[in-house]
Amino acid sequence: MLLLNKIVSKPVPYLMSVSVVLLLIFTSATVFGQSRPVTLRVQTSIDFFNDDPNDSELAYRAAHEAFLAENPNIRIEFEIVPPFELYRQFLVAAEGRNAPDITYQGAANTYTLASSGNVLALNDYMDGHPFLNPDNLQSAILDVATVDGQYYVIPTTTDARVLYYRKDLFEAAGLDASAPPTTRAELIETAQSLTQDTDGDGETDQWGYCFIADNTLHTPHMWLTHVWAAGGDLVDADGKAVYDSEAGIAAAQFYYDLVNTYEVTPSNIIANDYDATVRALVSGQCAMALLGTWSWPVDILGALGEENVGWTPVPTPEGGEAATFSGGWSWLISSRSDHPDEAWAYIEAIASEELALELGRENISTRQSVLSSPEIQDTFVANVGTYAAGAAHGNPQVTSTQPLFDGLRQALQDVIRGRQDAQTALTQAAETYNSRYAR
Amino acid sequence: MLTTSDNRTSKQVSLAEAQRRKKRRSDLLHISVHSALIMCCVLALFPLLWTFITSITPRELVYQWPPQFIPDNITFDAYARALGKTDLPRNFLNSLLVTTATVLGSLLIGSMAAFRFARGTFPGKNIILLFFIATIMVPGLSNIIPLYIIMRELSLLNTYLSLILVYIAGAMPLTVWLLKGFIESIPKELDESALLDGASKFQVFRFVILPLIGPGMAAAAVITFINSWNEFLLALTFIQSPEKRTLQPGIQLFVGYYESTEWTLIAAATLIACIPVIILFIFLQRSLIAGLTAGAVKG
Amino acid sequence: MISSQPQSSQENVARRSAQFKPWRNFSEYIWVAPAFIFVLFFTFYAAAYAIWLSFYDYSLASPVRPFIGTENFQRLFQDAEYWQSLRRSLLFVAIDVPLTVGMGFALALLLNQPIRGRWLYRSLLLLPWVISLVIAGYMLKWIFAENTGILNYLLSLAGIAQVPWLSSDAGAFATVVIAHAWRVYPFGMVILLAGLQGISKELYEAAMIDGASGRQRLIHITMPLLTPQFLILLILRTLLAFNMVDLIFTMTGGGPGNATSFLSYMMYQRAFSYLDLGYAAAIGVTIFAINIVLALVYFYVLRRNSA
Repeated sequence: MLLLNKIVSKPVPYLMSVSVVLLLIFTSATVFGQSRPVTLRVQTSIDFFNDDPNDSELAYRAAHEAFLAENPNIRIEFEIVPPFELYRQFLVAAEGRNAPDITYQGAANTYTLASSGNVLALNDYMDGHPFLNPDNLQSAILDVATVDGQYYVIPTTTDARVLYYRKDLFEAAGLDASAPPTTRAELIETAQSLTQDTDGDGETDQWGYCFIADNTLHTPHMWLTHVWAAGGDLVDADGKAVYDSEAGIAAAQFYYDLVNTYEVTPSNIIANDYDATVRALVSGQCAMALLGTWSWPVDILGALGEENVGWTPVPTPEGGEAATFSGGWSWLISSRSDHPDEAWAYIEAIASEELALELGRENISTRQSVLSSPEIQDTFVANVGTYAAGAAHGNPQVTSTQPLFDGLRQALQDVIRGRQDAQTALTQAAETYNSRYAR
Repeated sequence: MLTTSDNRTSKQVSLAEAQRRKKRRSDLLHISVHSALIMCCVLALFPLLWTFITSITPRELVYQWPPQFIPDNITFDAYARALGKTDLPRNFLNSLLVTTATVLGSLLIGSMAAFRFARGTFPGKNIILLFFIATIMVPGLSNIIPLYIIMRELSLLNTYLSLILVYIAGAMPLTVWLLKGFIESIPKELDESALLDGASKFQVFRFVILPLIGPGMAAAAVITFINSWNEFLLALTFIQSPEKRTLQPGIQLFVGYYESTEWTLIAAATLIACIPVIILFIFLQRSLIAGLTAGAVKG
Repeated sequence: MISSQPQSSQENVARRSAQFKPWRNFSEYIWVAPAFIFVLFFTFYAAAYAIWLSFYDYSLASPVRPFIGTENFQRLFQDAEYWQSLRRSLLFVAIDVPLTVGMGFALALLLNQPIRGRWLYRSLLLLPWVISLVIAGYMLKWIFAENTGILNYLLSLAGIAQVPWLSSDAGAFATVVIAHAWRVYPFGMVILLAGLQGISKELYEAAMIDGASGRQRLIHITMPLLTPQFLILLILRTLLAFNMVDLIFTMTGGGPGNATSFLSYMMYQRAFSYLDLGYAAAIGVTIFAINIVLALVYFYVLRRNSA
């Protein structure tokens, strides 16, 4: 107490001594921080070392440990970030000149990360690599991975959107469960027979067809499958939004009709998130639903069983071509990394062919050599992967994906709710985007 | 309390009658107050109750329709998994460390400042006080990048201290305001007589003021604790290593992106996260009210 | 701040000595300095940085960040979405603040009754305060889900058709209001309950002898005496409601359409989804200005009423 008392009565020497001590602490921290062997900071959403690992996490762990054994001078520090925060977290760190050496990002952000100079072009590493060479990638994945002729990402797994349908509900409605709809007309017809008021209270409680139109990215991803199928696209060669192409307007009108004209889709899809839609399919509130391939093994097949549920490609308009959306995840190296060679070596280890085969059992691989490997033939992943390889398109290459998608989903929600006709809503949204955000 | 055993004269009888009537009226009042409060409690607790029910439902039955209020197979598996198979216990301890340090630090420097704001006279006092209050009005989101850069410059990224410092700064306005009001409610004569007896300012602070502002400290502590315990965005941004991760970002990791969300796990983790705050309420509730009673009245 | 007590002679002595001894006066700053430095460094500096940012075309997606003067603000004032979000924010504040303060006041009055088990009621009613707003958002979304949520199920048992909690504009707005009120009312309840307990019983007894009814006592004794509490509550609740973003983030994502996209959410989205930090900072500056104006209005109105 006496000491403190003295300090308060003599503030100047006190403040001086405190600042000296603080200075010492900070300098020593920086000095010690630099005198270590190579440390790689790896930012990812996959926790290799969680206490309840699945097969792929165990495979990651093995590859990681093998790498450490071979490279005793390299230390790996993980930064585990929730998947939907990875992008912001990386950008804030990069802005603070403190980016991790390696990061793991969704395909949607490749273009922005590359064009802002935050990640490293990998041509020198990838060209001629026995497994990670760009020629081994599926074409849709390669399109997204390439920005101005340079490769920036090492894709791991991808996905696709497909139509899931309840075989048991098909049979209950007198439909042939072995012949799911393949065209839009068939989809509408089938959905109409499946839309039912099962308990007779005057309200529909089994809907024919559900898709996602809420405020998440799933909305534009699903809409795009219909646009591509009709030969349209989201942006033109100059990066301007062309929501209001003929195909785009037709797809938006199709949404309106499903909800309002044929009444086979509940109007609250504009608020039901992905999770709620999976739940609706599993609980039988939706007899068919457009969802991602990642939900199949556990959430859909696991919950319903093979005899009750099946999948089929996204139905196309008459005369259209097969089309689906593929996203996926990739490893990237920060352009400010002090150890790009070590970072590449580490990615080689955790994106190896062996590991890709292991991951490829549950998820669609981005690598052709994995998709065609005999080990996974005739599995769901192989079949849906073959479909995706022929039909998939990827994210548009624009700097501002988020406003591009935001304007679109807002317009689509307006159309679904009958607030604006498809033409007006999409044209206005495209004009707003083009005037402000188009590159 | 209102019973009368002896009613011999008519005057007393009527008095007893009046008291009975009064009692009946107050009984009626009591019943209506009780029923109103019970209804409010049911409404207030329903979301927490449903969270609890979700947490004890088997994982595969979470999506079943119609929902069940008492699941067929009650299981505490989600709690076992949250505590045994995830980083939650470590996150929990990290949060406890950060939050406790924040509370202690903000009470220490907050009470020092409040002491002189309440008792001292110095040029610019009101302006500095206004400055404190004005910081509450700054929208919180715009500060992430500048704070990140400050922390990098101080070499504090990925340390508990980074969070503690920012949380203390965030707690300052309310702590100072609350404690200043509380100190003002203490009669001035107490510290003046101590000063006349030759005590220093520090001694007045330590031996006169501090012992008397316990309830005010408790109130400030509870509010600071809740706010820091529940902070998410800065905790996620500053802390990089999993072993230093705090609770709120930790729980976020259970929210699915490509797998469906693990509702049972989130529900269990949510309830586990509430425990320290509930304990705090149990111990500090009386002081919380008392602290706000004396402190808040000075506008 | 304004002391109504006559100044004691000791204080005058202390004052005079303070004037003559600058060192004594200086030591006052030492006591205040740590708190001041914290606020200066971690809050005020960040706010100043945001104001600086608002004059730049500062995008995380671009390494070039030119100074553009007031262009961000000009763009802002021409942005229809900005005005819509501002309107929504003001509407939200106008509903949320009276609702949460009113709920807090009603519950505080109930809890101030001399009944048994007050402690238990008080503890239970405080509980929503313990859960974080982000997590509360997830759990409430789970409860309010339209086809699969428990709330619509309970309503269907009561014969009420499915309520479009999240898929209609009004429904989503109401859901956010309800969810937010549920989470934040305990703060007001505690402050006002504390205020009620600080009011001397004798005042009420005197009023009862004068024949004042319950309502008269409420209006003429209780409410005027609680003016300081109401003032601080209104200011805090307004600021927090204006800056609230967590619940929107986890519950509605601003939807359906933009029905629950408040100004604070728009700012977050512009900053970290669109990476348009300069523009987001400009939104932040306007929020700051509005907060100050609202706080001054409350202060002025309530001070005058209580005087």
